[in-house]
Amino acid sequence: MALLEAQKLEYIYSQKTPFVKQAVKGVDFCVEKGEIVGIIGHTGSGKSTLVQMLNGLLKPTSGSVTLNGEDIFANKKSLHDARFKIGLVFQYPEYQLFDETVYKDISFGPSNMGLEKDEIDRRVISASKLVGLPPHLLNKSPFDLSGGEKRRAAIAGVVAMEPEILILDEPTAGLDPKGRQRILDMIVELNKTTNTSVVIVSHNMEDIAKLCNKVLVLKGGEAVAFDTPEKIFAETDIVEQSGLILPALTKMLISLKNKGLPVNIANFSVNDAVKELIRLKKEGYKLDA
Amino acid sequence: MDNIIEIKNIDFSYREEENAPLIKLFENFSLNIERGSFTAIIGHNGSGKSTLSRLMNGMYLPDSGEVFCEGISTLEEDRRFDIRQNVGLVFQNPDNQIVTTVVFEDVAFGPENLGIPPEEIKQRVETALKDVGMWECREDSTTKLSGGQKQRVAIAGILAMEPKCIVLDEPTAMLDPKGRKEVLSAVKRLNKEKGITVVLITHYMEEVTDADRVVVMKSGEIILDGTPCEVFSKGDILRSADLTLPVTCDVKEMLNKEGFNIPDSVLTPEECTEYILKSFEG
Repeated sequence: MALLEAQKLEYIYSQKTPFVKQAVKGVDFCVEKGEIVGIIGHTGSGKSTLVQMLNGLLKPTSGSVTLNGEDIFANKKSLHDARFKIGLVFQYPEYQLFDETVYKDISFGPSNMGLEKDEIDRRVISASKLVGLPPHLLNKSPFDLSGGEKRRAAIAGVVAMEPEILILDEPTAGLDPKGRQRILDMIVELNKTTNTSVVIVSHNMEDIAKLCNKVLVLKGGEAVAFDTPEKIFAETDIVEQSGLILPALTKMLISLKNKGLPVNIANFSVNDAVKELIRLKKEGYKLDA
Repeated sequence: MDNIIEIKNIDFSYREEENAPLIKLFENFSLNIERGSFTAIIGHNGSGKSTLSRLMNGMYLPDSGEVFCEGISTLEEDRRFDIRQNVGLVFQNPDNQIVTTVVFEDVAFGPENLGIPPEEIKQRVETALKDVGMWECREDSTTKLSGGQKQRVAIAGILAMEPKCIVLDEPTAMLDPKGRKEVLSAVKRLNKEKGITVVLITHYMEEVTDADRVVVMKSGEIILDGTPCEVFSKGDILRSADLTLPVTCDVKEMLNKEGFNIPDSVLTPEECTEYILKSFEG
C-alpha cells in the first residue's frame, strides 16, 4: 500500500457559474514511503490545485486521497490529522511569515498540534538546523532576514510539524543559484535522514531529473505520464507536447545518441555525462563517417 | 557612442529599516547602456542589480553622482514623467503590477495615461498582447490568470507605452519554461525589430547567451563586462560570484580539460553537440 494515494481526482472551480473551469481531471498517482516525487507541467496545468487537494486544503469535486489507506476527507478528524501528517509549503511561503521572531514563527505549527513545550523546542531547533538557519537568527524578526533565509524559515515552520510527507510548491522560485542549491540540498538531507516522503512541484527540469524517484507530468489538468525521470525524459514527445522543455543536458545527450554515440541519456549530472564522453574518447570510440 | 542611459560616478546607500545603520551599495559606480543594445545584468541576490534597475528610471535617486536617461538627469524632478515614458520598468512579481480587472484594460492603462487617442490605444494593446502571446486572453479577468500569464500582461502594459528602453528586473523568475521562452523571444523581437533598448536583469544564465553584452555584478561592483562568450569563458570568476554557468559551458570546460577542442564561442547545446560529434569522427 502506498503512503499517499490519489485516485480519479477531479477539481472544478466555480461550479454552476459561467466561470466554471475544470482544473484537475481524473488524476491517479501515489507516493511511497521515502520517495521523492516530482510534479511538472505548464502554467495552468493544475499542479497547484492538485497539491492543495493532497493535504486536504481543497476538497476534490470527486475522487479520493488516501493516507496509509484512509480517506483524508472521511471526517473532520481525518482531515485534521492529514493537515499535520501532510505538510504543504506554498509558493513564495515567505509571504506568510507573521510572528515577532523566527522562533515563534517556526513553532506556530507544532504549537497548534498541542505538543509539550520541550518537544516544540526540540522541533524548532532541529527544523531550523535542517534548513540551515543559524541559531542566532531565531530571535530576530523574520522580516530582517534575507530572501533566501526567509524562504528557509518558512519551510522550517512546516518541517517542524514533522509530517510524513512534505509537499513543496515551487520551493526554489525566485532564488539565485546558490539559494536554489541550498534548498535542494536541504530537501535531499531531510529525505535521507528522516525518510520523509517529498512531493516537489517545479518548473526546473534539471532539478526534477536529479532529485526525483518518480515524476508526474500534468497537461491541461490530466496526468499524461507517471514514471521514473529516466523514462519520462527519454519520451521527448510527452515532455514537449506538455509545454515543457527538456533539461539542456538531456537534450544534448539525446541528439548525441541519435547520431550514433552510445551515451546514457539518463545521466542527469554534468559530471556523469562528461565522464562517459571522456571514457568513450579514451577507448578510441569512432563514429562512422 | 550613443548612450540611452548613463550612470555617472554614483554613490548609493540604503537602510534595511528605520534607524538601522546605512549600508553602502554603490561607490563611484558608472555604467552606460548603448542605444538599441541588448544588455544583460547578472549577479547573486543582494549584488545590487535590482537597485540598479530602479536607479535607471529615477525610482531611486543616487546620493551623489548622476543618472541620465536620454540626456535627462533623474534628479530633475519635473522631467521625471519624460524619463518614465522613455524607460519602462518591468518587475519580478506580476501581482504588484496589475491594476485593473480585465486584461485588455490593464494593458490600456499606460497609454491612456499618456493621452493617446482611443483608436491607437486599441492598436497598441493588440500588438502588445500578441507580442507576449496573451491576445486570446484579452477579455479574461486579471484575477483568474496564472502568475506567468499575469507577468506577460504586465510586460504588455509596458510595451503598449512604446518606451525607447525597457528594463526588466528578473521578469521570468516566476514563469514556467515555456512562458519564459515566450517572454524572452518577445523581448528579443522588440529589440531586434523595433530597436528598443533592453536591459535584462536575471540570474538565469541561459537567458543571457543572446545578449549583446553581459555585465556581472558582485556586491555593488562590476566584476565582468563583455560579450556572452567573453564572460562565460571566465568560469572561475562567475563561480566566485555565486553564479552558475549554463550547462553547455560546464560541459565544454570539463571536456576541454580532457583534450576535447570546443571553441569558447560555443554557447548553445546544439553547437556543443556538433563539436562533440566532430571529435568522435574517424
